[in-house]
Amino acid sequence: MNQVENIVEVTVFTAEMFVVLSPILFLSFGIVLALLLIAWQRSQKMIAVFSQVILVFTLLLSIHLLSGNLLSGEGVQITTLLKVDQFSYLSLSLLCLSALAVVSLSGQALKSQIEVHDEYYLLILLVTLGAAILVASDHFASMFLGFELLSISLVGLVGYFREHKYAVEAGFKYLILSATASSFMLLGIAFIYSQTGNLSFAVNSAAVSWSPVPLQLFNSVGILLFFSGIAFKLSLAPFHFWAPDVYEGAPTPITLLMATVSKVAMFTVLIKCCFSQGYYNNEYFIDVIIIVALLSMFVGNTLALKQQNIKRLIAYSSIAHFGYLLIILLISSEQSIDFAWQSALFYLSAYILANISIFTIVMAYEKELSQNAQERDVRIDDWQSMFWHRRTEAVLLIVSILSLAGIPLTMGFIGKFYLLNQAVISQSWWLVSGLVIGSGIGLAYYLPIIFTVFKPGEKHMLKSHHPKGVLVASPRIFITLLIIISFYLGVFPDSFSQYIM
Amino acid sequence: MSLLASLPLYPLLSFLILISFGKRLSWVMASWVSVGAMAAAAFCSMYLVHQLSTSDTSVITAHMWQWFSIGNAKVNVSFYLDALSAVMILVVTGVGFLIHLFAAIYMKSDENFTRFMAYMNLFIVAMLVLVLADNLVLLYLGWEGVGLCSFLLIGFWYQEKSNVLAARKAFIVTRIGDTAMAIGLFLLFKSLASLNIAEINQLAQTTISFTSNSMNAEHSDAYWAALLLLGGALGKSAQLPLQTWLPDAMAGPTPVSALIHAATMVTAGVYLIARMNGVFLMAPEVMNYVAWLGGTTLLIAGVAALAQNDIKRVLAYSTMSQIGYMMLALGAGAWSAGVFHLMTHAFFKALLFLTAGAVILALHHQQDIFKMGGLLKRLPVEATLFLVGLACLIALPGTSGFFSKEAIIASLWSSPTAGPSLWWCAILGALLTSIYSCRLFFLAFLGKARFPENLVISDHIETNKLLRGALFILALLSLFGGLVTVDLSSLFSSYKPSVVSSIDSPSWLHVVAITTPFIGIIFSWFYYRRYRIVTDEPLTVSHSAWIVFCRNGLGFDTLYSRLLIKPYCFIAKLNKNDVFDQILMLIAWYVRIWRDILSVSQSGSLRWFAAAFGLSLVGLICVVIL
Amino acid sequence: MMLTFIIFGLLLSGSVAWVTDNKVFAGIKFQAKWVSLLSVLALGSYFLLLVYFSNNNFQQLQLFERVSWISSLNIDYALALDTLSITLIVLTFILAVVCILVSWEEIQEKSGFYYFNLLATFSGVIGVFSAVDMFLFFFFWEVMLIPMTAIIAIWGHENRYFAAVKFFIFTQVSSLLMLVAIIAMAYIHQQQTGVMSFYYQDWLTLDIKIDVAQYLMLGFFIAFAVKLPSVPFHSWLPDAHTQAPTAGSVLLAGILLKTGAYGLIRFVIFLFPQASENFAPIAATLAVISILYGAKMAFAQSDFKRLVAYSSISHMGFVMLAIFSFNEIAYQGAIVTMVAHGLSSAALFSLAGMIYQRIHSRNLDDMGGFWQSAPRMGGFGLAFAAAAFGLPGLANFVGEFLSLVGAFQVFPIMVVFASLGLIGSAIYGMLLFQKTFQGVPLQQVQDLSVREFIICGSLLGLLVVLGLYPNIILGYAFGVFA
Repeated sequence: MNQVENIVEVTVFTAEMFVVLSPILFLSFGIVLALLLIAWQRSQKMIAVFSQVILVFTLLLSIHLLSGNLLSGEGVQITTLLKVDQFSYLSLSLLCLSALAVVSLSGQALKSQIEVHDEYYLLILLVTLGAAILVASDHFASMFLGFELLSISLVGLVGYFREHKYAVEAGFKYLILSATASSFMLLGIAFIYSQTGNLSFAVNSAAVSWSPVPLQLFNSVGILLFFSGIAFKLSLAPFHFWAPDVYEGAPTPITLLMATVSKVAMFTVLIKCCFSQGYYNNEYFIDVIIIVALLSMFVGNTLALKQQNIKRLIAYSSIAHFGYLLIILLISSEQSIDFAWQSALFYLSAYILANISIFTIVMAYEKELSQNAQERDVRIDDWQSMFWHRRTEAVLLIVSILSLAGIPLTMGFIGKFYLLNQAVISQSWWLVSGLVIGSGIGLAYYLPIIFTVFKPGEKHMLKSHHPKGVLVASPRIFITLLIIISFYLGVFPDSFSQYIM
Repeated sequence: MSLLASLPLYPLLSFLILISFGKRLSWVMASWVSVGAMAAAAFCSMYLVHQLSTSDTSVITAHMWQWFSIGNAKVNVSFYLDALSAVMILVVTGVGFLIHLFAAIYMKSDENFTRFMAYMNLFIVAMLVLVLADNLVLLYLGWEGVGLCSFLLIGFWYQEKSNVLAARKAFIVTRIGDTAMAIGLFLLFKSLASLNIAEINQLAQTTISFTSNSMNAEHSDAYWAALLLLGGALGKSAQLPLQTWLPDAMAGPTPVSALIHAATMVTAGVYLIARMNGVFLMAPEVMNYVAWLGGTTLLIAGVAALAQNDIKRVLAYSTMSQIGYMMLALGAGAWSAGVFHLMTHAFFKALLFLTAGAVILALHHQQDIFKMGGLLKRLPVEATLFLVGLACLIALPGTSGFFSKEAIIASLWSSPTAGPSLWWCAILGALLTSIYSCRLFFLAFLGKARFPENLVISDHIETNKLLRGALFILALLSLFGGLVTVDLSSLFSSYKPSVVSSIDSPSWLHVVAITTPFIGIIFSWFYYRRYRIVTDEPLTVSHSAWIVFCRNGLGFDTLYSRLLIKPYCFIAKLNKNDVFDQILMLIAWYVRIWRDILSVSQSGSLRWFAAAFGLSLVGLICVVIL
Repeated sequence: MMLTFIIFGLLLSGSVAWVTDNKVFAGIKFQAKWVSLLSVLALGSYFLLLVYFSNNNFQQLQLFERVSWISSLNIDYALALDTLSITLIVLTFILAVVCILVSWEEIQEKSGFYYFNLLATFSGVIGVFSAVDMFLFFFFWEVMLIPMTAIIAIWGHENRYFAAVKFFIFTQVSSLLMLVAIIAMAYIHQQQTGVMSFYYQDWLTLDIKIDVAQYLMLGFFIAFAVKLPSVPFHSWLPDAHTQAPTAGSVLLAGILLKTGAYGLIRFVIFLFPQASENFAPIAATLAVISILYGAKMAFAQSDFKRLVAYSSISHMGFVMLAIFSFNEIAYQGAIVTMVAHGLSSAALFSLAGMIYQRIHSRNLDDMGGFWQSAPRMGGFGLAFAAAAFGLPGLANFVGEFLSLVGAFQVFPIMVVFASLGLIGSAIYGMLLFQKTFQGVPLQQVQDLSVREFIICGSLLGLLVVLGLYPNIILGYAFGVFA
């Protein structure tokens, strides 16, 4: 009954909603334009620049909206399907940022190929759009929409360089497994619907008591299935098996895309759903979270040990990192929701920044390798004695590794600090110990990377060639910028988190 | 700066000069500096003692600065001179001066002469601090200082492995005693809240909690404190059970043995007990232990001395047994007798060692008495001097040794903490003393010469004069030193009234005591006949198990190495790479194992991935349902 | 402002040294070692003047800076000094000079970056000693690790990577426990007063239920016990000390271990008096075990630096025993021992470095009879070994004596066992000295150079002065407890 009412009430589409929704609208509009552009003239440079421009504008729009007070407080409901608040826009701008980085890095990855790759950029834009819808969604339906949009276009990207050794295999794995995941997810959604009779997040199903009466069980199982779908995308243990292979097989920029855009979007929507549905009151769900989190911390960190291939290593470490992030979901009460969001977003941005920086270096080295006619992934020992020959890149690398390891002076540390705060408030000592031990193990593979960078050795390969992003005029400036940002935010986190407060 | 305060400064200055200039100093310069400093110190101390005896106050003190403060108790660097320490400084500086004089010639040819003299001076400094300290912490400083110097001087010829080991042994064994003493200091401070010697002796009498047994403990603090201090004394004075280091310490140059291991340092233990008599009187049981330990040591050492071949080792064991006498005296509460014997012993034992040194020098560092013999004709002067020394050692009537030893023996019978049995101990010890002394003399100076003929009397005539000069003075001291009677009874408080006994000593005691040495001499005159007469049948060193056993100090060394050293080293070797580390590294190993297990799961086959997906989902559902 | 100036001045001059190393500006050839030496001297003397002329007495913590840093969590940038921290900072500066001097010839390649790391570590340490906002404290606590690890990992010996990782992981894991405890404290403060606070002075006013306090105290204790180090958390230390370059070992033994002791005093004891008093018997037992175990392990070693490393475990055991015996005398002892051990172990490690430069080995079996060719070195070796086994007249004795006397009032039996450590120290001290300088001369080594003589001489001088007149620190540093 009252559902009908609130549908009636929200179908009115006000100007405010339009303004609020403008970044997403702009993005989709841009995609249409891109299609037209392709139809008009096929030029890689043009499309690259064009997509970068679109992303930049989207980014600027969302940042503008953030700084404006439109989104303050509850946030704006746009139909039952979408609801945006400053958190979703912060993550949206993070998405745009990482997508931008992906596009800029793609430039030289594609040079090696002959043909023109318009669809490549198009797909990236589509992924971004899917992610944008995810972070804005307030309804299982819209969530699933974004989910599918994101994963299908990713499938296309993963197998993009079809003549590459693992490309097709990786594509297939990703396709099939993600299909499985989404089907499970659908099932879960169905279960939930069978219990609550509503698909909107807003309806607080915490109202339903969680006593394990068989019928209510459906709900718990439903939540679990839904969670498993997302956990697959976040490559949380025990749904992580695909990650290393696909990361390795995909083109490096796409690996970055998967590591950043899709994960951030997925996590944002997960938080959104859990908080508004009040799953943190459901002890079954909490148990599941704790198990999954501990598993991910342990499995991710352990498997990363002695890993030489950097893409695989990133895959494993990201498993661990999202294991840590799950701590966010265990908030004790409504009051701490805002702080939880803040912590989550800070951690995510630290994670994104670190990944972007690392992949910048990886791309630089991949380029060198390809110039030496070696078509293989970058291995850690390729980085030997980097510090003594390519100072700036080395420093960037070290900073981002330290940030992943959560050592002070870097954003990663502050992020970890926030997480620990969360854990202490919610008194989930299991996860605390998991975090401590996990980061202990983590050091055992992060530090050797740094030592390799310091290891004395003959000058590595050719004179340094930096990734020629199209947008980025001079990569050295770009790199130094990254260094400065990560240091600055590591020492003065306030300047960042004030956006959220 | 009072005269007393400046006393240790002379040797200290000369030490600094010598150490900083090192080999750049000529022999003349170095010896002038070091011996001159000693002479100054000697005169200075004589003057001080004169002052002390004439002035009405029985104590001279000199306060330099406050070292640190423990709670409210101040620990000062300040000196305290009373009759007891007066005797000590006289011995230390006087005998020390003569020995320095001797050493300057004895060590002349050594390339590290200056270093040697520097150590000797440093030792004197530490020793003076030890005897003058007015609080136990400062005393401990001197105590450790002399230990270090003794270590350095035993290992002076550090290129010989055996010397190095001997030095290490000496230091560590004494260190064990020192540790006991340190704990004693902690205990004293805990129960008396002071470490000032005079105060402690005072408080020990008055504080009830100190002497009375607290409700649960069966021994009073006084008992433990005295026992722990005794531990320190045993270590330094080479008494049972910490005596094993002294014979090995003979590895050092002979003047060192004379100065440190006969005259001064080894008697520090005696000094300590005499110093802390206030505490010991409160613990009669401990005084009883002291007496018994002294008695046993003097017998064991006497027996061991009978079997030695090395002239210096014989003297070392005799030192041990003489200190045994002093301990016996202290245990019996005959404080002044003990200190008196300390003084006389310093004289004649220094004389003996130095003469032995002269002989050894003359024989080109030959120390085995079975390779000597007939030296009476070759080195008449040394022989007579040696004889004088031995006479004092045996305590022939009239010599200084006689007076002091008689004083001790006389006090034993009636003493509440000693008694007749220990008296017999002492008599037996006297008998042994005379026997091994005779054996030594016969083997070294009588009988057939058993060394290559090309014997050279030490070449430098004028230095030889100096060398003998030192010996003569010592000889005079040891002959007539007994006439200056040291009466310190005023210093020492007497027993608790409770333990005063009234055993009257029978009249025949003195007769026995006096005749004993002669019995020994007569016995050995016949028993060691083949040692003294000149025959052609060669002397054979007996290797019978019993003799060897005695020669090795009655097997204490083997015992300790079995009981302590071997196990310690074994454990150390066993755990060379740190069991805790192993355990912690086990964690890393465990993680690595897990890594291998998990990496199997990354098979890369799609079927398995899908299956795993499903399986883990089922697993989680089970978690929810169950 | 001045403290900040010192901390960041060190960092800055470090970077200057890094950038300008072996470059010529205006006709002057800048060498990293000169730049860093001069800057350390300048800042050190500046610090002394600052303390000397500041008219406030440092018995209580004197606040120097307090600026809001992370407002969302109410975290400040707050620095303060009291006598304890001043003493330790002065020690830091002294050893800083020593570190630079011992690296003078040892470090040839990449010297610029080396000195940058060195100075960065100093600034981190000074930050640790002066921070009174707990988050800031933790921040510095971690920051001082990074350059230290770099020093081990880049300029260390054959097995350096393993040692560096081990060192880092031990400290990192333990300090994360501390971080959890810190956060918990902040929230307890929020529960009690409504506002979240990481400010040390605020925490002193909290009253925490004993059962909670137990756990929080443990969180801090473990972090500091690892740093101290105390058995069974010690095993990072021998590797780190052995593998680090000379200055690294000096830094570790001389200063970084002291941060552990400092933490125990300032945070464990003062923040959780009750809890730590209940915990004292266990802590004291651990301390005694460390004393004996360290001494025994030292005896077993054949590597010069490893031996010294284990000996410092033994010495820090005395400090911990003293700290946990809650007795003023013992506290005095703890402070003196900290300073004395800082000097003596620094001296021994520098000696090890000098020997290593001559014979390129740390193995005691390759040494022997050095006295014959290098008497000066031998003399200093003897003196430093003597300091290590607590010869009266040198600083260590005063410290150990006071610690034990104080502790004896509380734990008589344990002190009796601890005193056995004196024997143990004598054993390994003798072993060290005799194996190195006595015995048959295996090879000729040249005697100390002027620079080395200055290093050893000044350290020995300090040891003697403190040994004969310890009131210099006792009178000063003890104010904290009075």
